[in-house]
Amino acid sequence: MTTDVIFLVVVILGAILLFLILRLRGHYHAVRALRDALNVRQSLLRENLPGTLGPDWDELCTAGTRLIEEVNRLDQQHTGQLAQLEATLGSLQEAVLIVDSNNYVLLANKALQAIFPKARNILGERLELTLHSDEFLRLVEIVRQGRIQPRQEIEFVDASGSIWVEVTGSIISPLNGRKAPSLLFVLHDITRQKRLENVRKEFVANVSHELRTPLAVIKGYVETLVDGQDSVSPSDRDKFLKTIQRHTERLNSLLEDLLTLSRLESAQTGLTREKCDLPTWLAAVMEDLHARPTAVGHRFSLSIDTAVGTVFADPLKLGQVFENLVGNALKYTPRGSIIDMTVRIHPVDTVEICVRDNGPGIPTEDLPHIFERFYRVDKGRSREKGGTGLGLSIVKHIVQLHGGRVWAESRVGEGTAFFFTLPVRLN
Amino acid sequence: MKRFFDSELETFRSDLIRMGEVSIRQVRNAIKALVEADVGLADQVIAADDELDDLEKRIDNEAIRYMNLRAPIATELRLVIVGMKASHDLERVGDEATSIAKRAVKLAAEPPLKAYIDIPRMAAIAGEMLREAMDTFLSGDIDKAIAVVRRDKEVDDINKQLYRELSSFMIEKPGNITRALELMFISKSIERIADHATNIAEEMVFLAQAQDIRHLDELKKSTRPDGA
Repeated sequence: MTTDVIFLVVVILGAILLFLILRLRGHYHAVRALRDALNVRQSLLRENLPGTLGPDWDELCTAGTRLIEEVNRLDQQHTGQLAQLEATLGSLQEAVLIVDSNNYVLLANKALQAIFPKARNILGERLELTLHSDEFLRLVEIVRQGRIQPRQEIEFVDASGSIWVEVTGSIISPLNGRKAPSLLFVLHDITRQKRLENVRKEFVANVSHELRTPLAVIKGYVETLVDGQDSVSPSDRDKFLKTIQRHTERLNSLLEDLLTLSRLESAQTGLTREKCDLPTWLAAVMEDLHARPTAVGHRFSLSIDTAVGTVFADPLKLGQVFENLVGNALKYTPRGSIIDMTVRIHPVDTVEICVRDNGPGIPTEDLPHIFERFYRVDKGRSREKGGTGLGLSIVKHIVQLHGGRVWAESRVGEGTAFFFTLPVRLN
Repeated sequence: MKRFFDSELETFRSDLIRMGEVSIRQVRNAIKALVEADVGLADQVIAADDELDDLEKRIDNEAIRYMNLRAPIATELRLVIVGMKASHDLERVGDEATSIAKRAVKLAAEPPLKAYIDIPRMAAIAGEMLREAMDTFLSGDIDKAIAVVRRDKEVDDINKQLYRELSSFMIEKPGNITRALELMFISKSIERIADHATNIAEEMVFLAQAQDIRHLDELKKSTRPDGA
């Protein structure tokens, strides 16, 4: 009687098991629960009953064992597939996001967290809590309606700034037993490209502006000279021609600076480094400076630490660095000012060179930007003084090519100090 | 995972969330247009106001339809009522953003009266308040909603300070009056936006807990989110 009841229970269990295996093939958790149940059942049977149950029982045991093996195999296969899928999704550069019909997040890979740091706990939440953009919500609706939408660039804005993402979306079959289809989105981070694009646009706008200003002046004076040949007095003509000459020179120096910068940036022109005895070389630079007409009335002082010796540098390019730094100091300080240069070893194996003036100084908010191309602290005045707006940018590139770094310290009304370093040894 | 609405109200809820996003974007762009003197962006803000008007109408119609057909009670009833009220607040936020954009167009033609520092700061706080209030709609986080109500005073204070500063500009030179007045109206608009965000936060508390926290003096006194 008891055997019959057990037999019946096992048959029912087996039938349910078979049905479930067929039905739930691939459902990881269900399969695992089923296997556990069968294991428990079998151990119970073995413990409670002696081994003489006849051929029917043996057959049942064999069938049960086979079932367990099959379940194990499916389980392993499934676990492997899951792990593979997770690894694949995790290593993707693109962010993958799957949401259900009510915008609850079913799946989000690591790349999504890399793009949106706030998306760490996005799983199981509504996507609107983390991804803030009405454009994206509109795209989600469009995809849900089954309309084909091309790749779309979307801006997500948060307190921390903007994140630009290129999104494609599509409908996929329901997941996790849900009835309505889920939506899959692939997001590609294009924030960097967008930023670079902005820099490029700004650069082009700046260059055009800087080129157009002298050209407009030249054009104006030339037109006056051509149209009013008789009415322009010789003294005015001279004045006009001198202005034209000044602006042509400005155009020329702007183009030269642009070319220098472009060569430095493209790194086509490598450095021609040679052993350079810094004290001797600096003494020669000082002599040149004294001989310059623009330097008349300025005083120079040079102090070199005795430990400073030779460096491996490109003397021509290094000359340009001094030319630009001292040139700036001369431009922005009144006659009689002192331009002070100090050279020391700081820290070990690094030469630190400082060019200090007692000019008007640079406001703190402008300091981080002065090495950017075309950045001007005093928008009007610096152009009058013939600056191209590229000098410090060139300095930065040359110093960086040498493996050093450049920075500035300044106080309004007290003066500015430009520092740059050069490594003593070649790496 | 918190689900507290009937699936039938999904569109209603999605529309409200989207309305929140659109109004936040409108405020952000209006201020950007002002600071950068970008007339094109200001025009975009003015044109996009129709989107908010349409969403408000849709939300109202859906709420009325649902009330007629389903006679909702308890949470559902609160959702429908709060949805209608919040959508009205968001629509008003949109109107204020449009008003700022229109003034930005006028101001773009003239040199700036002063550096735009306080106005963007104030707008950033108002924008954050709106964001937090709308997030509460999804998360039901009451503490966040109460923090929004408390922050309102921060914006009020900046508004008052700007008012004083702009008045002094006007006294200094009559030529400043037109621009200073425009900036005063803009500041007032941002202050109103923060008020609408506060309303929404209060409505969200009512939605989640059926508790009315409007016009409670102890909440309005403190500027710090922790109430200290």
